[in-house]
This record gives sequence, C-alpha cells and structure tokens, in this order.
Amino acid sequence: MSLSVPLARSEPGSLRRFFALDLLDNRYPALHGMRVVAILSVVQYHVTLNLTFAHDVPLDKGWAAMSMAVFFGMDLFFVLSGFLIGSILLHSVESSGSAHVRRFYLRRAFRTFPPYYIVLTTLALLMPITSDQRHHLWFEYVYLTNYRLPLIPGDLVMPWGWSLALEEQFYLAVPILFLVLYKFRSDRARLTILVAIWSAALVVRLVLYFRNPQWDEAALYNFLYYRTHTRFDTLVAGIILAYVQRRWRAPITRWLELPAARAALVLPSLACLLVLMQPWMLGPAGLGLIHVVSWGTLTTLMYFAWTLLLLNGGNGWMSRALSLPVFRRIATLGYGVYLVHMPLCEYVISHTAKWLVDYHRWPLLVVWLSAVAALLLSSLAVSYLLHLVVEKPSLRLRDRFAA
Amino acid sequence: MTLDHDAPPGPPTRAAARRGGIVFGLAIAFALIVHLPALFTPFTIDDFAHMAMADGDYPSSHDIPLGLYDFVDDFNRQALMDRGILPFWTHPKLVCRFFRPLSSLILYADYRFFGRHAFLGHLHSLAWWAAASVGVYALFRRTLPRRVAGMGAMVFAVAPCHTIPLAWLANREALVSTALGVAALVAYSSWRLERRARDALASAVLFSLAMLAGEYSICIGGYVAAMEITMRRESIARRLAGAMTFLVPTVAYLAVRRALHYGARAGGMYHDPFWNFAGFARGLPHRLGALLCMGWLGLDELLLIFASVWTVAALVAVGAALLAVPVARAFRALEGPTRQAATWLLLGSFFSLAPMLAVEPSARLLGIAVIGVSAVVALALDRAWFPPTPEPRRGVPELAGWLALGLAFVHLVRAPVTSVLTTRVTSDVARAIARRMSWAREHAAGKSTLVVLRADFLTTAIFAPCMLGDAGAVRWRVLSYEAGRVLLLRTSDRSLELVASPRPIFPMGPRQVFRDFDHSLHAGDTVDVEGMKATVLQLDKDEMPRRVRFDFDRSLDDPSFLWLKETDDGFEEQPMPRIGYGEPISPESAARKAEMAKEKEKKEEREKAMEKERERKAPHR
Repeated sequence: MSLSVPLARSEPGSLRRFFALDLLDNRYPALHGMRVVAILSVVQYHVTLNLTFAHDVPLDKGWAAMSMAVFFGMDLFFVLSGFLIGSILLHSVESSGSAHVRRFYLRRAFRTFPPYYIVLTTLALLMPITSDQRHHLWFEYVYLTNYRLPLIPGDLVMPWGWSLALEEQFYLAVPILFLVLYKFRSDRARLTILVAIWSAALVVRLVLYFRNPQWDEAALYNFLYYRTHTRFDTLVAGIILAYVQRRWRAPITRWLELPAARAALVLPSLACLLVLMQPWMLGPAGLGLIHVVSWGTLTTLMYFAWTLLLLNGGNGWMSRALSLPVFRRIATLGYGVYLVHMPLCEYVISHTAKWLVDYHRWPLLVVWLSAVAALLLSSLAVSYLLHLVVEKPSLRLRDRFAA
Repeated sequence: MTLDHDAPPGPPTRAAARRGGIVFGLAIAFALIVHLPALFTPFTIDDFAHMAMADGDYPSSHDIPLGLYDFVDDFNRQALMDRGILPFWTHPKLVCRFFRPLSSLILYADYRFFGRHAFLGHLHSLAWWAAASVGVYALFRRTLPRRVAGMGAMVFAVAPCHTIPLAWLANREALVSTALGVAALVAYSSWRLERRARDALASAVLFSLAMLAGEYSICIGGYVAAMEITMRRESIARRLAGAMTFLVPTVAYLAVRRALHYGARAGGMYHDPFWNFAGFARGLPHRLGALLCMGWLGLDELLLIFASVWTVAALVAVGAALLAVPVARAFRALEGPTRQAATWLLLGSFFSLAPMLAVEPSARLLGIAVIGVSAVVALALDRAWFPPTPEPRRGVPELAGWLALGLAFVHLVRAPVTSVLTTRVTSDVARAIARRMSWAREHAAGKSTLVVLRADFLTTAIFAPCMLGDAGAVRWRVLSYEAGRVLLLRTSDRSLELVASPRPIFPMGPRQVFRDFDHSLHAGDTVDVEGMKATVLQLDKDEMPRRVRFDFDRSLDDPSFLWLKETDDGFEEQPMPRIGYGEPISPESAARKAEMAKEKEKKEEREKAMEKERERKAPHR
C-alpha cells in the first residue's frame, strides 16, 4: 500500500507529460491564429485541387475558382517563418554580437528535419511509388524538391515539400545576409538593403516573365512559383518585419493607437487582397502579370501590414480572436499537419468525398465543407502522433545539444 | 488629430490649408489616375448616331445642334427601321427623345472642333468630371469640416458611377448635369443659409443651365427638398419661396419637354409612369433596391440586375443594418449646422433617386445620389478614424470601427478598382465593335443588303448603319438578337425561317431598348420594313417569339445579299442553304470551332499518352 501511493501519483504525471503538447513560444500569441488561418487556407486549397482535378468531383466552378484563388496561405507561412527566424537571429546578433550560426542550424535541424524525414521515408516505404519517384527521391532528401520540376505526384513522393525545401535553402543564406547587414551601421542602410533584396525577387520574376511572351498557367507556376530565386521575397519580408519590429516597435505602437493609422495600414492590404482574390480581373492577357506581381509582392505587402497590426495594433477583436489558446495548440501541430495532410487528402478524404457524391448524392458544398473539416481533423490527429513520437523527442535533443 | 465637430467650418490656418491642399491634390491625382484610361476609349453605340446626325446622315426632323439626343419618334421611326438603324421588332410606338439641348450643343461642338478624335472628347468629359468633383468639394466645405469634405470629395471622385459617362461620349450629359447641378446646389445652399439675392440669382441661372443639360439634373431636386425639409424655424411658404430658384426652372423645363413631346416610351429601358404606370410600378422595388445597393454597398451592377427582388431586399436590409451603426455614431457626434447639413445630404441621396426609378438600374445613374452618399461615408469614416477622445477597442466603438473599415474598403478601395475595370471592359467592347463594323464595311462592297442572321452585340442591332461609313447606304437587317444557337431553314426561294430555343429570337421587356414586354408580338403578327416582311409563327412558353419567317423582295441567292452571322470573334459569312434545307447557326466562330476541335484532339492524345505513362510508371510494390 505504501508503494502504491507514489506510483499512482507519478504514473498519471508522466503519462500527462507524454501526451502533453510541447507548445510553441507564446511571445506573439496572435501569430498562432494567423498560422491556423494559413493552415486552413492550404488545406482547403488542396481539397479543392484534389477533388476537382484528381477525382473529377464536379464542384461549382465559381466556388472552385474562389477556393483556388485563396492560394496565398503558403506565403503567410513564409512571412511568419522569416519573422520568427529573423527575430531569433537579430536577438542573437544584438545580445552576443554574433549570429551563432552553428547553434542556429542545429536548432533548426532538430526542429524540422526529423518529422520531414520520417514522413518522407514512411511514404517512400509504405506507399506504392513509381520508378520516376524513386529516381527523384534524392532531390527530396536533400531539400531540392522545388528544383525538380514539374511538381507532379507521379514524379515526386512529397511534391508539397517544395515549400520546406525553399525555406531550408533560404536559411542556408540567412546568416550570410545578417553578416552583410551588420557591416552597415545605420538602421536606414540596413533597411534599404533588406527592401532592395525583397524587391529583387519581383525583378527576377518580371525579367523571367518577359523573356518568354507565351506562358501557359502551368509553365508559369513551375517556372516562377516554386523556386527559391523567384520567391525569396516572402521570407525576406518576414526578416524586414522582424527588423522593423525590433527597432521601431514603440513608435509604431504609438502610431497605431490612432484608428486612422490602423486604417491606413489595413486599406492598402485589402487592396492587395482584392487583386489576389480576382487574379483574372484584367482578363486572360493580364493573368500572368498579376501572378508575377502577386506571388511574393502583393502577398507579402498584405501580410506585412496584417502582422505589424497584430503585433502592435493593440488588443482589438481580431487580435483577441487570433490569440485564443486553442490556436496555439493547433499551430504547434501545424508543421506536422502540413507534412501529412496531402497523403490523407489524396488517399482517404478525396476518395470518401467522391464516394459520397457518386453513391450518396451528397450536395457538393456539403461534401467540400466536410472534406475540409475531415482533412483538418485527421491531419491534426496524425500530426499529434508525430508530435509525440518524433517532434517532442527531437526537441528535447535540441535543447540538450543547442540550448 | 482630433476634430472639433462643433466648430463651424471657418478659414483654415496657413499650415492646415497647405496640408489640406496637398491631401486634396493627392486625392485628385489618384482619382485622375483611376479615370485616365477612359481617355483612350473609342467611340461606341450612340456616339456613331451622334456623328451621323452631326454629318446630316441620320433620318431626323429636328434641329441637329440642339437635338442630338432626339433618337426615335413618330416621324423617323419607320425610316430608321427601313435603313436598319433600328431592328424590325422595334415597337411601333417607340419614342426615345431626350430634351438635353445644352449637352447636345456641347457634343455637337466637339464633333465640329475635334472631328473624329475620341481622345479630345474624353478630355473634355474629364474636365466636366473635374468640375463636378471640385464642386462637390466646395459644397462639402461650405457645410462640413475640412477633413470630411476632402474625404467626401475623394469618395465622390473615384466612384464607379462616373466611369461610363467618362468612357462614353454620348453619356457626357450626366457629367454636365452633375457639374452644373452641384454648382447650382452650392449657390442654393448659400442663398438659403446666407440669404444673399445674388446667390438666389446664381442658383436660378445654374439650375436652368443644369436642366438644359438634361433631365438628369432633376435629381438635384432631392437635395433641395431635403434641405428645405430639414431647415428649422421656417414657414412652409418661406420654404416654398426659397425653393423657387429650383422649382421655376424645373417646372419650365418639364413644361417645354412635355409640350415638345420629349420622353421615352414603349421600350424596356425606360419606364415612363405617365405613359404606362403598371410597367413603371412593376419593377419599382427591384430598381430602388438595386440603386441603393450600388450606391451605398458598391455591389456589382450585373449581380443586382439579375437578382430576385427578395435577394435585393435582403441585401438592402443587411446593408442598412450594417451602415446604421457607424452612420448613427457619426451623426450623434455632430451638432448645429453640420448635423443639419449631414441630414439633408443623407436624405438628399435618397430623394435624388426618385427620378432615376423610371430607368433600368445602372451605376451610371448614381452620379448625383453619390454626392450625399460620399458625404455620409466621409462622416462615418471621420468619426471612426479620428474620434474626439480615445475610445476602448471593445463593444460598439470597435464594431463601428470594423464597419467603417468595410465602408472604406467599398468606397476607397473597391470603387476605384471597379472604375478601372469598368473602363477597361467598355474600351474592349468599343474596340470589338469597331473591328466588327470595319469587317462589315470591307465586305459590303457591291452589296445592297447586309443581313445578320444572329447578333449578340447591341450595336449590331442598333445604329450599325451609322458605323458603316461609305457603305452606310446599304440596308442592314438583323433577324435575331441574343438568341444563342438558332436554326436557319430555307423555306422558299425568297423566304427563310429562324427557330430559336431555349432563348427567343429576340428579347423583350426590362433592359431591352426596342420593346417593352407589355407590348409583345403575337403569333401571326407581321412587320414590314423595306424589302423584308417578318411574320411571327410561334411563341415560346414565355410568350416570346420562338419561330419567325422572313420574306424578302428577291431571291435569297441574289448576289446583292450578304448573309452574316455574329460570332464570339466577329462577323462571318453564312452560306444560304438550298430550299427545303436547314442549318444550325452557332455563336462560335469558325476559328473557335477549329480550336475546339484541336483542343479535343489534343485532349484525347494527352489522355492516351497519360494512359501509356501510367502503364510505364506502374507501382513497383
């Protein structure tokens, strides 16, 4: 009896610890909500893509077009990632005088590599793969997915890993960027350099676009949307945001106390959103150019404004809503959700949706909504398992080796 | 950054004036950029009729410099139909005459001085728009705080209601009426507030000029009525006496208009309540709701036109509920003359819609109503963005802030985008029309009758001969319009029949220029125009003509005929089938059909290739 008491007390404690989430840092709670918005945007986009193109579910054309127009959740991930990494590096540089490159890479590797490699290897081993997929697998193992084009399921095991590859490639260069940046003394010079780098991506896209006058939609995506040298502006925008936030937080917060200032920030971002939601507004001839400007420039301008507002715009309704604790939990599982949602969508959700449409005549809108909800929930469930058995242990290792 | 709402708008300090001037300049520059593409729109629709009138090449019995808006009356209707300027299904009593002598004169001067340069004409229109915008700013400055006046003028200047009048020369009269009407209103408000006789005289003269610009100016009466209603401590007699500077020119204008038999009747675009009250009353709630939704919520014209009356009513109700919070807060914060001005501007925006209810709803009708809308929107934004004291970010203030943001999005973000896009569409359509008519002109050589078996563009059905230049003397016949796919049957040497389904051979009713549904054609009805007789053979379930026979004055194989069909890519020649045979006529061009066949072939090839690829890439496990 005397032994059973401490056992009874300790077992639930360790179990609870085992099943508990290793929650994300909570310095910017509203950003968790933004991450969830990004997850939702990506999930709904892929549901529509899968249902419409891979499974011939006849969704309403207008609805499908609208859903596919909300493609820009991915860019929000990039901006937030740039912001968080930028904040960490800025803190590191300014507190200790160096970027602690080794520590930065170690921490990043422990955070991102294990779940990615586990999911990639599991899919490669358990799913039926083609000879092309097998042949191109090394691209995925060395994070070069976004340069193995076209990104089609028959060629790659995890084509959606392009965004992870893009991030990893960018972060290889980030410490160098910071070294260059800190060669300059004034904030204005640093900011100018950052803005120039940010603008360079648009210039690259425009040059590439105008070199070929006859783009079709798929070629344009393959050539401009996935590659790091055409899309790094989204991540640079996050770093600019981190810099601005670190340097001018107080005056920005003061300025944003004025409702007119908040409106001045929101209205241009809504103009960007309007263009993003209607890329066809200039007709077929203007679609390509709108894509070129949207993919990185308009999206980052929009997210820059929103993030700045959420970080410094006071405790408004939106900020309060996005800071709900539940979003922190979902955001913690966000990386896992991104890794596992596509196979779930392809092999489980889309087939079920198709079955519901073909055999049970469910209304298409209901099927779509159910598919999005089911995919989100099932991805969260699988991601939770991944978190328990892969992410948490690797984070513990991270804390041990790169505290 | 706070605003003293109690303070009457007095003379600004030098710094404030400079700052205000810069902001106003930037706002005007932005609005100019928004409307600049309108300068490059080619001539379209009525413009060609106007040019033909100016050249004396249009059957008209009226004084041309003053009567460019006299399109159709009892005297020229048959001549217009015989030439093909109007189609055969035109109502036998169709009248389309607008008493706009000043606008007509200005337009005539354009054609005389600028010739066929649409750009210069558009530049002229832009000047009227600028005058209207400056006038609106002046009006607001007299009655509202400076910042509100600036914001309001900005909302007015970028509103999509100006897009069509700017991009379509024939519709410039809306800008002329608005500019003169606003100027008159400025003088009127001075007259009523400061009681200076010279202001009374100025307002009477300006109202008279505005009326001569067009009947659209009557809308300004909405603000006059609102101002008089909201005026305090005035007897009814004094109010009526005050309003005489508006009433006298308006009554005189209406009397002359009536005496000279001006007006629009028997078409589906205009609903004259004095000619057909039932037709006017039938669509009234829908038209009112649509105009309110366009003006206040910036909703899309096409969406509203085709929405049911219940949908429009629901939109109005939801819109009113949403607007009520920021607008009520803005009004509560006002006092004295500012509040009174805001009230008459708000009421005026509603009253000014009354004359427009006789027309099918369109954003281009809202130029005068938007004056009040702009003022109220600016007041709501000012209250939300520049509160007199800091407010908590919770409850009603926060809700009002969000709703104000929605208003700002509608009027400062979406409106300019809509304006740019509308101009673009108008330009594209005008260019497509020019291309089509140029093709027809080239192919008209040696022909005496051009027959369009199916048409889609309004310009093909109306005024087309005015666009044919030297070939304009030929007869132009349009046999079906907006019918989709039609079946052509050759029934005899000189006769053919057209059968359409599910759409009718030609539409009637609301929005249809040529014929109101109240005066439909019936089976057996015939229409004679020079060289052709049309007989309605069958109606569809909606009582619209489904099958029509056309008897011509000579063999259909006569080489003087050119048989055309309008496709998605322009006109194409249509071979006439042998007697007793038929042929479907589709809206797709030959090139498009070839492209579709090619696409189909490619798709099949792609599917085969994918099938092979799938076999090649068969899973290894």
